[in-house]
Amino acid sequence: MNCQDFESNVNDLTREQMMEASVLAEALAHGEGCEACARRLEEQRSLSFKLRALAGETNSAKLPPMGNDLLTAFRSRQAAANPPATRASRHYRAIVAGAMAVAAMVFVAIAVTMIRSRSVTPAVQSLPPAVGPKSLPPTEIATVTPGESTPESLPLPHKNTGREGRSVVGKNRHRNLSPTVAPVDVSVKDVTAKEIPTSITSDAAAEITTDFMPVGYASATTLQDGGQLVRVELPRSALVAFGLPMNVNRYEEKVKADVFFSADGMARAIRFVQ
Amino acid sequence: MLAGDEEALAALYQRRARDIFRFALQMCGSRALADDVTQEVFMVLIREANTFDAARGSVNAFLMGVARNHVLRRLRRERFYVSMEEESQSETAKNISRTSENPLDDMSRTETIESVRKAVLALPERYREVVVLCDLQEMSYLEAAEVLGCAVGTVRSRLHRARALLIEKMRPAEEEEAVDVKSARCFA
Repeated sequence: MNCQDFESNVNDLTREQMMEASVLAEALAHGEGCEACARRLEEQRSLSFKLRALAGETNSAKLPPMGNDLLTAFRSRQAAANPPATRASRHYRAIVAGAMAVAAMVFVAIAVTMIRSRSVTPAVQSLPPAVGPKSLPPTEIATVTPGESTPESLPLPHKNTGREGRSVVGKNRHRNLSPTVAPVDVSVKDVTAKEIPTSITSDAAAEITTDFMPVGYASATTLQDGGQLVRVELPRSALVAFGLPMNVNRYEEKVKADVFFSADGMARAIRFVQ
Repeated sequence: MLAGDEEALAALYQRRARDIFRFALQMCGSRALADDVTQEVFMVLIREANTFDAARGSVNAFLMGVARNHVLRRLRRERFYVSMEEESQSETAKNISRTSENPLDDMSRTETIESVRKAVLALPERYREVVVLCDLQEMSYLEAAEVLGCAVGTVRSRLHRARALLIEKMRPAEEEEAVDVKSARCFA
């Protein structure tokens, strides 16, 4: 080790820092052999001693106690920091309350819509939805003669045309019927505002039906067992029997209708199809 | 402490305030200024505790860095004023020497400490802070580098230069004292 290397390591040597053992041994050996470096090492050690004395004297200085200003500032800071959090929580609560109010309004609207739809539709809607299409026998189309025009005396279907039976379920009460199977006697042009009541609902497949109208004294208890929906053709005079307007000029034409038969074979409800 | 616990603040003060106070006292040589700096550092900690990032360094390094900034600011602001602290310190030293059993040794030791203190205070700030941190606070190079925000090599080189300056500053005083003693003997 030369004097320059010793100079670079003399601080670590006097401050007793971590050094490599070989470097430390070389520095000490150089300090013993070089008079200038030995004097420098001695000066550094003397300086370190004096600095330690100064540090010891400073350490004995009394630490100032934590003043009340600090505590006051700390408390005021905490007090100032809390209101923003409170405001944030208020905003959060308002948002949550608004969301809950909107959800409640949507729920009420859905409930009102369901209640209205149940009140408009006759008791047919109260049929249990558990009656699946496959569990029902195939329905038939019954052609009703003019003499049998009274809805109460509608016979049970006796002609099997191969059409599938359908259960009357609330959501599917306006189900489409295939126009290719049953001949449509009533053209679309015949549908006028005078013939169709205002409560007629439109179907997605261009088939317009009226709501179900009770036939006789149908009650919910008798309809809960399920039933069959049969597409029939009736004389137009049947419209008059149910209080619907009829075009006298087309008296001889027939109109299609869906008749709901309960489990006991009795006609319970009817709707007209166009 | 961030949650508003006063006991945590008190515990942190008891643990860290001594180092900050010593650093400020050794940097500026004024007890009053050191008191102010210590209070200001903790005020900053209370106000801007959220600025502390544990990934950038320890709490001690953060506090010492704040203390360093405040000390340097105060030193630059009060550069043109003359401190009355030296007189009070010498009075304190006299009081110590009066109460001790060996007044001569204590007087010599006190004079040595005063000379070292003056030499340290006479250093430029960049060298003084390194001496204070590494030699008086006995920090490692790495810890001092964290406080100062510089590289370890910079700390080493500054300390080397600072110690050389201290030796140079203290050498003429010793020689003058020696000359005074010889002249005194001659006159006697």
